Amino acid sequence: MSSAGLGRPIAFRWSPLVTALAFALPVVFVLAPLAIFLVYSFFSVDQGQIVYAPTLANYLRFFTDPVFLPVFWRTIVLCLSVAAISILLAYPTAYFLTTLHGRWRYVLLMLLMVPLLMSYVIKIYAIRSILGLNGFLNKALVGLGIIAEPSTLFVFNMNAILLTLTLLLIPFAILPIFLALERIPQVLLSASHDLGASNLQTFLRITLPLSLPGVASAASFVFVLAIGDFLTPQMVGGISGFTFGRILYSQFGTAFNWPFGAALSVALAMVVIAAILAGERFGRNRGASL
Amino acid sequence: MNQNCDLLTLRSVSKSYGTVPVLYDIDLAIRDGEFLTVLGPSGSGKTTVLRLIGGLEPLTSGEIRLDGQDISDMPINRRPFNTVFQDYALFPHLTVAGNVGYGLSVRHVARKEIAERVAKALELVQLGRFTERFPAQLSGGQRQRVALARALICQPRLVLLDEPLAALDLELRRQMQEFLKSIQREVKTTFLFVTHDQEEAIGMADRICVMEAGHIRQLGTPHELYYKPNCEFVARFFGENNLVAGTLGETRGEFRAIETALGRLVCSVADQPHLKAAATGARGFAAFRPEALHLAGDGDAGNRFSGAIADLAFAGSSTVATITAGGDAAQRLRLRFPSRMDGSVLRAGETVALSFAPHEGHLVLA
Amino acid sequence: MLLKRLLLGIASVGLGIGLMASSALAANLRVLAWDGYADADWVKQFTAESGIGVDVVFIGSDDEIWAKIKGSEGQDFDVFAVNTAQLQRYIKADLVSPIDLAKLPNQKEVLPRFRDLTQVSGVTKDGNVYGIPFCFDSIGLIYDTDKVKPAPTSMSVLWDPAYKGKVLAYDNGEHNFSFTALTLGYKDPFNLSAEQMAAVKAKLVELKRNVLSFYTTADEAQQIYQNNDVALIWANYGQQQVKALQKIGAHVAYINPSEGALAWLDNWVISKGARDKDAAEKWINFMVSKKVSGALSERTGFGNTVVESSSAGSNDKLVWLNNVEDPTKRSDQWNEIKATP
Repeated sequence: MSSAGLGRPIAFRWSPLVTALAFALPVVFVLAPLAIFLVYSFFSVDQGQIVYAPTLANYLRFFTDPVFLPVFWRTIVLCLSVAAISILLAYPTAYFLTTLHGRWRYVLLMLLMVPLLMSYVIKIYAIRSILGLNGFLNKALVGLGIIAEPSTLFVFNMNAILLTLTLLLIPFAILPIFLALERIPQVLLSASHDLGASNLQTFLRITLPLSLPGVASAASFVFVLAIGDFLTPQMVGGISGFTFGRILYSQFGTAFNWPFGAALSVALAMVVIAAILAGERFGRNRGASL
Repeated sequence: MNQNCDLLTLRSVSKSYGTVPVLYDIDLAIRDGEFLTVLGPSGSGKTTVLRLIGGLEPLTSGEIRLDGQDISDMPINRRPFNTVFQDYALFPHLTVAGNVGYGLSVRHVARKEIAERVAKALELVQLGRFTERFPAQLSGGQRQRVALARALICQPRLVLLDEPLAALDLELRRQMQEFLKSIQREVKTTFLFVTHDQEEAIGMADRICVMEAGHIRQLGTPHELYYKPNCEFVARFFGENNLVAGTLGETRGEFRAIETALGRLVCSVADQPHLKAAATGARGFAAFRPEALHLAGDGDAGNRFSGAIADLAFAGSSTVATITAGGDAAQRLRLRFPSRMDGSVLRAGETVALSFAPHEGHLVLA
Repeated sequence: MLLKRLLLGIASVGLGIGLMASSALAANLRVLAWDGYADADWVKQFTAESGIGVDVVFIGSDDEIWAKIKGSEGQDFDVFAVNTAQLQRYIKADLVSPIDLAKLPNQKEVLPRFRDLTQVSGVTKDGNVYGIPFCFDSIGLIYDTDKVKPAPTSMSVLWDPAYKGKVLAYDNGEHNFSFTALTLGYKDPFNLSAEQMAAVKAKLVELKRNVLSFYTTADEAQQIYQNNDVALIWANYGQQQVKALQKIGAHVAYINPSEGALAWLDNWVISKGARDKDAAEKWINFMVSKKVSGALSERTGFGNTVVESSSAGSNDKLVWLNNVEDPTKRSDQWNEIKATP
């Protein structure tokens, strides 16, 4: 009893601090860095030194230089493709999972999530050695007699980028789709059948639309993660592996032009925020009527 | 269609989940156009009967016939039945119109016709103004009516209703009972209504099928079930009843005696040949309703016994007295009488003479 | 009893940590170096001889050194290793201190080409010595002896259409501009005129079409080599890279191209923020001793400045990497080259 009596004033004393902390964390770790980037994007660099005078030159350069916009669009298209491929592969997988019963469903789901525990770079290395001209994939295909000699189809080109990013990011697509599918009450499917719908009609008219919020979050997850990835395209894409993330990296890493890098980051952040908002908005609109 | 013609028959239908049996050898005939209620406590198998008919689950053995044709293996989406689910199961991403028109739309009915029939169906359930709303924007009763319209629009031979009123509050439930009944009369479609609420069953059904532990105990009109229960379970389940155990005695015309702790009681066996034929000495019960029991007057010679008033409970228009009778083999009986403004004529603790008329008593075999 | 012992244990551990922290704060020499430049046994020996404690932080790239030194305006480290190309940038930014050669007796014993530091481009300015050469290697060409015949003598082989899709190049605009300039026969590959720059850029776009992939680490290049059909590798990591490949059984050889091989030269420099300049000079003197420098070449395969090594033949033409005319421009141009479809 006495400890309960003591507990309350202590909790009372600490609660504003906890609240402050809860607000401080996102501010310090998310908003503040973003704000700093935004501010930096209006500076410029002269002889390796940052000039702290506001200018729009960085943005002007981004929109007028013949290099940046084309790579920017190409990267967005690439990441949209990765999102689309991931969803095409993840949806059947997640759907299959929901048809399993009891323990197997979660055991299999966990197995699919295991790659997330492994180092990203090691995974890229592993995938690259599998895809190489003398890699496992080609050896297996030649060994099985499917192709006569090693193919360059997945060797340092756009296909390799799409395949690798998909492999790396597909768990992020499976999970939200699985959760959305699992949330659909079975009785709705019974009701659809009861009203005369075939399995296909039930899938197209009930299951699919009700799982779209999951698909939307899956797409935005994969897109955002893919667009932020400056390693994979470079490591598996050969001469096609030049993406916007790479340009950004070069501004900080080799050109040492932080303000311009910051401006490019702001442009990228806009796309990322738009993707997240789009995914969230779509998910919520459909979800609200559930 | 003739109401006396059977629409759907269940023959020796059994159902087990794994090794656990839930239905034993059910035989049931549903008449065309009737409002049949399947009544039973939870675990009685009543919902399973509905799911088997609807095609939501396969039979373990037996057969289901529609118009004499075996439909046991017919897939759910081909059966000309529609279900109103317990929690309505409305599609959250479709509007009211989308939900109601769903059954027509999957059958590729022309858009214009769907719109007309949806409008008509919604008119029928008095939801004409809510076409474009989503289910989340409706009240419980409105959702209920959408579910009903959705089930009716395909003009099914049979509408299956799985405790559809369970989620509604009392007042709304009463309204919906009347509403359902009136709709059923209007569309003349056969309704199979599953519930655990006997009051609901009595209020709506043409016939009631009482189930217990995977068996059908009795099938009949509410009146039959109320006044002529054929077993102890139905006699006890269906409304308040006084049951006094005893052994059957001699039969005299339409009446038969039973020897009980309250003495010899005489009850009606009219139109019940199995009771007339039962062996003398067989165990059974005298059953009489609380409203049939009364304070014995001078003229009441038969079925007369004395009892002590243990408790009085005022219940509005009537008052219920709990009575202990029968000496050593004490029986608790209930007596219901109209309440009076100036107070009860009975006092708790006093011993009174009691009686019921032989034609208001009934026999049940143990 | 047990509790008491436990408490004592905790107290002594706490005390230990406190002591360690305070001694680290008090006197330790803070060294920022590449892996292999400050091996544990050398550090131990140095501390034993001089009584100076050493904390070493290893780095993985030139940018990381710049970020660390520039980020703290030189306050976080006493002595660090940086190459000739980078050093001028640090001098200009006033991040390093001149070194007193009188304090480095071992520097008098180095190989002839490193003895006169004014002849080593990039380590002096205005008569002051800012860097002491320590370690070098050429950036040559690795070729697969089974696939490339006859043996190449020039980087121009990288453009040979016979090796299309079999070339590994390095992902760095600065170096790529420099070596291409040498291949084109330009005198000063680090100061290109506008026309020269345009010519090099066009040449690099051509190179790109012959390339399988651009790599950044030696491990990465080796992995790509193992899993793919690679004939030529522009060897940013020189000796180390070729030896690692030979170790896994690859049939490869290494040449310094006849037009001149770019070569990096790492130097020890003293940071502007050095707390004890004397200790830093003692460290550098120790590093250019016969013993440490000899061991350096044995262990890493790099050339050192004291003992003759196999890194480059005496006839090989080495072009010390130097500060380029405009690194940002080269980086931007390199981006443009990579962005060219």
